[in-house]
Amino acid sequence: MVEVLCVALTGAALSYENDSYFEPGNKPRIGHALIVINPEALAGADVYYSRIEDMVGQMLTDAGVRLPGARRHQAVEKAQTEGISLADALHQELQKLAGRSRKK
Amino acid sequence: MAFAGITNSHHFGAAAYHLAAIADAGMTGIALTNSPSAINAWGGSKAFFGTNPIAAIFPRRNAQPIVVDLSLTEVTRGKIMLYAKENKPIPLGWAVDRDGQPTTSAQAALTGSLTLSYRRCWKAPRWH
Repeated sequence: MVEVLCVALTGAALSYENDSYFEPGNKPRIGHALIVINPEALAGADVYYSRIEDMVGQMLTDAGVRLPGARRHQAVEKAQTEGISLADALHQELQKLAGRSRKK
Repeated sequence: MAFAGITNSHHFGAAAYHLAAIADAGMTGIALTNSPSAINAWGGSKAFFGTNPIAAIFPRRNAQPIVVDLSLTEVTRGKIMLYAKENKPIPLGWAVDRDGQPTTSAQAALTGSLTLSYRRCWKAPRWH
């Protein structure tokens, strides 16, 4: 399904036609698909938001349930207040790459 | 509804990153991408399809959006690559070698294929 939406519709390279991401000098031709749906266009935004909250409310009555995205948001908050630690070598490599792109 | 198809691309990083702006605009979004071959076609013995993740974002009022990021595979190819670089064995269950045998060798896994995620793909993909 993903292959058809990302490749058949866009003309990109099928998975097996792509160079590995990890070989030097690779030139993959990956395809992506992005679908955006405006809730206003269907039952309306109020209904959409209300239904989502009904669903979330019910999900969270089951004690162990974790809302998809919750862990990600917590990680972002933590990173924003505490920062993230980078190995020196990685930090230097990132600076080098950033410097290279600035020259273009 | 809008559909954007992108070609000639590379790894797009974390799907959630691209979806964030969509939720900020009060829209729901779905992002998909293919990748170099990593998993077998159903019934097959060689890697065919990419890890081909599907991600979605659903904004909420007065709360952080719901972000779903589904990977078909138990682990990403990049993770196995890291293990290969560090010469560490991988746990059984992550990948099979090119003969379809479960392997603990990261190097063998890279020329083989990744196993489907048992948690998220409890049903084998079916092609109708």
